[in-house]
Amino acid sequence: MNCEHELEQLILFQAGELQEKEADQVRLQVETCGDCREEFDRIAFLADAPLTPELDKEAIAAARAMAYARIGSSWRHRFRVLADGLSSLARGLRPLPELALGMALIAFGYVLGNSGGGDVASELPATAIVDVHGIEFDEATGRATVRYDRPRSRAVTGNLGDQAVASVLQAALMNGDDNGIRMHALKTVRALASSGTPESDLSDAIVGLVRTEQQEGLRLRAIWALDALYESSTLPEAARESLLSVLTSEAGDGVRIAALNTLMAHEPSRRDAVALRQVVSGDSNPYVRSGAARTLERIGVPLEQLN
Amino acid sequence: MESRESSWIEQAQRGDAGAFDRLVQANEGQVLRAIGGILGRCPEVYDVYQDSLVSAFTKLPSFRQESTFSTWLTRIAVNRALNQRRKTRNARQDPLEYADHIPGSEQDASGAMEQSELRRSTERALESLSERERAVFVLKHTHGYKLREIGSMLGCAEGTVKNYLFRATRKLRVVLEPAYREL
Ligand SMILES: [Zn+2]
Repeated sequence: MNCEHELEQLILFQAGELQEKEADQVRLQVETCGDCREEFDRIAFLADAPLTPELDKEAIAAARAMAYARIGSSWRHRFRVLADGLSSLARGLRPLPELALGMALIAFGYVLGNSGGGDVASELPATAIVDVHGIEFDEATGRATVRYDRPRSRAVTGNLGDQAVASVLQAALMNGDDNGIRMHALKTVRALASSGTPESDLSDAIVGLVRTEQQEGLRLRAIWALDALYESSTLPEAARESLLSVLTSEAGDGVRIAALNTLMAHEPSRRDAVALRQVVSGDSNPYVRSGAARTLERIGVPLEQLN
Repeated sequence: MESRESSWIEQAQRGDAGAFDRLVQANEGQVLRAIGGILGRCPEVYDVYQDSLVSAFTKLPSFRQESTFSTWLTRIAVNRALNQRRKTRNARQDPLEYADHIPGSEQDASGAMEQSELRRSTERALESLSERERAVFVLKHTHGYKLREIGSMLGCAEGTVKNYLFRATRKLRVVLEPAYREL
């Protein structure tokens, strides 16, 4: 009973952070004192607990491929991307549709789990994959009808203020298998934009397309959809970041121009300066360079501060 | 091993994307354990991994091999994961609710039930830690880094890291006590 049961010493001992002499002392305590022994077992149990989640191999490969794609487009002028790297990129890109599908599943489960009651929500299990197969926008009424299968054909009609419509549109945006459906969903969001408050999960899905969509035309429409959704409110941080990353790493001129225009229309601020400077000094397109320079002027970062 | 890594680093620094890819894939598991340990199970893990790789490639020319590539890459990923965690904390009020809706978390085979139960309580318990406490605990116990190394990764003194480890262990000790008792 002449031992102090010092928790901190036991923690450091278990973590292998004690000097030899101290470690010997604690080891002796653990061997001879029941209380110390139990406390040590408890600490070891915590250290052995499953601290890291199981991750999805496909999503990892897709993230790696996206990183290489971004590296490829923003650093081509500085680094020679060898054929070797390109072929690994091509291999890595294939899992992307699966990733998008997985994201649809997760996000949709989240939406449904949290929406209090709409008829779609109560009908679908939380992890449903919704197969959207038709979207129509009616100009006369300003409402959209979205048709989907689950388990049999159904449709919801309304605008962005209706949770069911927003949820199904979001699922359509994340349908990695069908470019046509993603395109229709983006057009519909844009058409409905003035009709209801932007739904934040819907907005996240669009930001996801801005960041990871493979089709240039769809990336462009995703930016237009964001522009329309936030015409009279503040652009969310994630959307702003996705536009900045388009500005510095997108290969398509049209998409960069759309990103720049959207950014200029939504209160650019000094925190955008780093990306804008990069554009002024490095973008291949003169329109984009001069637009970025004008924006920098507007936010009060003088051009002579640029190197 | 050491010299093969060195030559990959030099090739990658000259712009050889294939060499960069080999370096990345050789260290992928370790980097993702760090990101996953800090963020838990969520889609942002993959975004942070993606951003970390882009950032690493950008910084590669200035990497002087004062540490191993894996420690260097893990440091970049850890700092990005911590930033992400701050953002997510502000945006999402209850990350646990989100974790519960991730498909797969409820459909493990009955044999793996106990393990998945422990995994879930651990995930919950980790949510009770501050982001730095969590990072220190994970880097210590899943990577086996020395507290001194963790300090240099997080930009704080060894004594501070020690305190994070104490605090994290004390908190987890309380929250995971029922799980320990069941053992
Ligand atoms: Zn004792």
